[in-house]
Amino acid sequence: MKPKAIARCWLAGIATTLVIANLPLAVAAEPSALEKAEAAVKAAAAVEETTRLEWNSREMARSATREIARSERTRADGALQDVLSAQTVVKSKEEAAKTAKEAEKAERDAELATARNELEQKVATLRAVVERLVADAIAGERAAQELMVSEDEMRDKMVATRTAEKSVLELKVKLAEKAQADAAQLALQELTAAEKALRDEKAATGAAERAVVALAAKATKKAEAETARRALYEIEAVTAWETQLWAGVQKGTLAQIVEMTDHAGRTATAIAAVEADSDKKKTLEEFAKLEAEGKAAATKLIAERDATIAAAVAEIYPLRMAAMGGLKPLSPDAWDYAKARHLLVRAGFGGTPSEVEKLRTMGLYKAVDYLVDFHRRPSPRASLDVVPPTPADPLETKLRNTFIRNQASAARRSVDGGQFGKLRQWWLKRMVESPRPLQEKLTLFWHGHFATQQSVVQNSYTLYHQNQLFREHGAGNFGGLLYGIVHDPVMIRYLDNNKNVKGQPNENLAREIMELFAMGVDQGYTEADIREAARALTGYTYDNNTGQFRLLHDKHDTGDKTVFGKKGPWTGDDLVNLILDQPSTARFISTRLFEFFAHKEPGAETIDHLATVLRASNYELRPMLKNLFLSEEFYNEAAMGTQIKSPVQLVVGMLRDTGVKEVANYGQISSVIQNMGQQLFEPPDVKGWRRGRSWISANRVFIRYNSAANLMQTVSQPGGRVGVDLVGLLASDECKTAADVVDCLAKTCFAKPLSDEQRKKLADFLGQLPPQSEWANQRDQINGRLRALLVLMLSTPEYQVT
Amino acid sequence: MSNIRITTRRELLTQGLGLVGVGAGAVLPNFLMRTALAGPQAASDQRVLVMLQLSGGHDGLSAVVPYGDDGYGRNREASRIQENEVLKVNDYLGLHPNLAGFKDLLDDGAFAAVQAVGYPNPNLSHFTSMDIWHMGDNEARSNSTLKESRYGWVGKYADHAYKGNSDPKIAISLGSGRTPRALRGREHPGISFNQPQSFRYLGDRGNAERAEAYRKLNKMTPKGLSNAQDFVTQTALDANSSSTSIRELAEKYTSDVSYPTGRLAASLQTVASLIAGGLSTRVYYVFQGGFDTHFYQRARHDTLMTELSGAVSAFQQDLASQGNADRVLTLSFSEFGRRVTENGSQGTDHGTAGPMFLVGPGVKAGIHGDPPSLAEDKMVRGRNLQFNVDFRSVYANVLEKWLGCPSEPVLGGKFPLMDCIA
Repeated sequence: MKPKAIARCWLAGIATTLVIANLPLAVAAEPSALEKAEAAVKAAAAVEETTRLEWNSREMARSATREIARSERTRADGALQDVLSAQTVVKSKEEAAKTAKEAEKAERDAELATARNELEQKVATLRAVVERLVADAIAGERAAQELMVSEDEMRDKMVATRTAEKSVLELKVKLAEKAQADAAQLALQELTAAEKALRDEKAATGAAERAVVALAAKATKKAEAETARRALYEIEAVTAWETQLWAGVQKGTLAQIVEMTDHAGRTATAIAAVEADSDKKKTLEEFAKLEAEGKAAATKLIAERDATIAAAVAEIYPLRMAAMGGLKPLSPDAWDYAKARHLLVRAGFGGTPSEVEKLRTMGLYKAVDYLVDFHRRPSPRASLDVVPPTPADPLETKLRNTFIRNQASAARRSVDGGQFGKLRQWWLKRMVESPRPLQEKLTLFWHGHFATQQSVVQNSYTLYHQNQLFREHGAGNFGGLLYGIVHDPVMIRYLDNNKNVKGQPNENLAREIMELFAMGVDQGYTEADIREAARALTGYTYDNNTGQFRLLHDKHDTGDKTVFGKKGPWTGDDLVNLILDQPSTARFISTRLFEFFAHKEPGAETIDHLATVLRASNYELRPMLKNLFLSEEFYNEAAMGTQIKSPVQLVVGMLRDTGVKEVANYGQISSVIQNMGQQLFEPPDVKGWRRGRSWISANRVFIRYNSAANLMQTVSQPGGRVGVDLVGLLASDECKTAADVVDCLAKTCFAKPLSDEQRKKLADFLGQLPPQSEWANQRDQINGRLRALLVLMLSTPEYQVT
Repeated sequence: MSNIRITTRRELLTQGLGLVGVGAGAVLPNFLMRTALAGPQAASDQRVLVMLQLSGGHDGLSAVVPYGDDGYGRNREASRIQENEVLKVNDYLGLHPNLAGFKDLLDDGAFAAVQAVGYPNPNLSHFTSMDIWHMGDNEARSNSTLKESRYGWVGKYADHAYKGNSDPKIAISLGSGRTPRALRGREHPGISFNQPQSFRYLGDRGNAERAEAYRKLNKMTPKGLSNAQDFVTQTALDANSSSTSIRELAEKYTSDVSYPTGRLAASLQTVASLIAGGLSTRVYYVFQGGFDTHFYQRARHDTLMTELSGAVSAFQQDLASQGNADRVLTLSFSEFGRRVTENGSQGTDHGTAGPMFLVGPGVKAGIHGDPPSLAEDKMVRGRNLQFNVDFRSVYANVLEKWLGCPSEPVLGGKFPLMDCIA
């Protein structure tokens, strides 16, 4: 822009500011309301602070009471023990006195009297202690009740503050939206003026520029309004969260009371057993009654708090998602079996009807948390002992005869080949058995995203570590994954970065990072960016003998590079950050994940939302994945039952759906999947599997049908079982008729219900079965018939889609 | 077929074919549509094209050897075929010594080669270049999102020539797991299988009751399907409908011709059996792999040439004894040729232009097109051959002169016909 034009814009800007400053009275009056509201917030916050201090001191007082009560209880326990042992002594003395001869009798009587005296004393001590204990317990009860009242007070005060804050924010939103509207109005006016001015050539340029400035102001105001609106969502989310947390605190207090009264009650009962004094007994009974009542009341309150927490959770989730700019969540009321199954199949591989039912009972939010927060659940040992490949003997290259040399290297490689077979089977085992299915699904996703081939790399050791990178960080931070890939010996070898050295850059890795891994074809980078990025990656290589990453400093180009318009002595590590700063990155990753989990045609707005969440959480993937799995769009018609199963999904899903918990020979599973056209660690090329229709051809239809049928009848499981145990699978359902059996299996197999005609044909095929109670006795025979039915259901186009 | 009204379908089926019980809105197998509708028919005595894909990038200079060119000797050392080895065609060119079968066919007037075939702005990636050859469109690089460009040239041919007739067997691929992109058409997705015997449903384990239940169940299709579901259903129906006829034909076939061993020979023998049976297929697609000779090229390439020549010769002999040779044309191609200069491992790296072979009595025998120039200043992209003939000119000629189909709608443009068919 020319200086003159800049000056004009600047002037126009000032003019705009002036106009905005002199907005009509209605707006000018708002700030005083805002000031008032802000003052109210301050006052409320002050009250909240005083209440908090007061509550703190109450809590401290109560803690002290609780401590005293605890020591009294210990003393009472001790005194009770004393009484009990004294009683035993008296009893034995009495026995001795009865059986003693005349001469000894006097002595025994004297001893008995002493023992009785001691018992009397100890009972007296116990009485005193118990009286104090009762008094203390009552005091404790009172203190707790006071505290609870004060907890409620505290909560009210907090709510008051939040309400005040909310009203301020609401005012701000109103103001910002008003400003937005005004700016739009202004922009419109300026545009009209510009149009008018256009006719008048002299003023044309100035007015047009003013219009541009006004439009820019409109855009700013829109952003401000959005920020204000989001702040409002945030405070609402925080409020709901606080409600939940307070309910938790109060629940804790109540639980302590229950625990205390329980103990006191137990002590009282024990005392009553040795206490003959009817007065004391009466007092204790009354006390026990009092305690029981208190306990019941507290339990009831706990239940109420639980309900409050559940309600607050339902409130928090959508608000949090809105505050992060995410997709709108599905209404929890719409959560049903079909959706729970959809979630389990996509965010995992599938499961038996009872596993689906478990997710359904959890409710939408808990179900999504359960699957996505898999790191909170234990998992069997997730590692495999692998060794780096045998390094070549330095003399190997000196073997003159090609054939002999090939023999030597083949022998060396066969060790790695064996280890590689184990690795593939180990991964399949995890897919079938892991209690964290999403972890393995994401590992599969990232393997297809950062695609590499064993046949090229020929190093199972490094592939295992790459696989673990995907497993450990698959739901973690995308930046971490990208960093891992830049340092990954497999990728470095696969895309020739070991040949990328200072002075002779190789662009392969740099290009694919931008095109396929992080940004998408032609999305915000140029050929020049690729060339410069390649220079940043020079010297990033690996040690062939140890299989570890290595940076060769003398091969690394330390000069300045300009990537995305930023100049500096960038390294490969810097490149990762530069890429993360690009707006296309979050969009690209969101698109790829949405396509993998939901469906292939997300709208631009959908991706906007997911990318916003991803950026807001600094590329942490969990919040975005949760948003995706909670969203309405994940459960709409375009998503449910529209995905052609990959061979891995087909086979692993089939095993999980039919309740096969463990397979004896994963080599069988691996070769079935391979026949169907997918081989783990062997995607077709760096673009990974194309998915969808590419899995299906006329020939593959038969292979899928035939292999599935074969597997269901022959899969060997530990303990010698061969074939799936459908009798066991159906045990939890009531199957009276053949149609019931068909329905139960259909629920297991299909995303959508069968047609009446299909149901009838299948039921006719199955025919009459003996009553379910007798199935266990004829397990093999019944399983045979059920499997034939299942095979028919698997041999359908419907089963190929989920 | 999507524009046909349901009532019409139903009428045709219930009245015309006497089938009852197929509900309105059901998806019909394509073969039923063919019978029901008077679309163009693929007759069993029509001309057939066999596409032979040499996968991996075939070194054309080692097959049609310019032994008379100094440039050849200068650039090739370990992979070089000496003048005294070649089967001379003229003073400049000779065939690879193991292509004796081709030489015999040439002498009989049944072999032709088009030299230096390629396309502008060549791509040296296996999969991108293969996509370009399969789609018949070098603008449609693999990242293109244009839907039309996702179809292959054979698929587009089938769509055009057999509009309204979705016989699934118009194009069949043998010996590759997935259907090659070339065969993929809007209406004609193509069929692929390795062996006719395995191209069937086996889940019934030979039990008649189960087979019957499978048949019944796979005839019905509920309506309101998603697109993915539709696609799978359609493919499954096609598979079921063609499985029986293909297997029966293959089982009936007998031949006195002995084929050499190897995947290509086995595929070609299956093709011969299906041609003998009069299957309605117009294009067969077969493969020979292993051409990516980055190291020790000479020995590996020699073996490949033996296999190629032996398999194709046996195939021609078989066709001749069937009396079908006249109506079959075999056309070979590779995604690219190889670098003119050798690399450090006695092999050659990815290159650009290469020859295409045409086999059958219908060809204009001889070597066509100018030989590729080996002069330094005539090479492109760092010691690679400049193409002289666009591969679509060959496709166009085959489409128009052999398959009798206008080439423009298939190739999306007009290309000069490369005259190589009699």
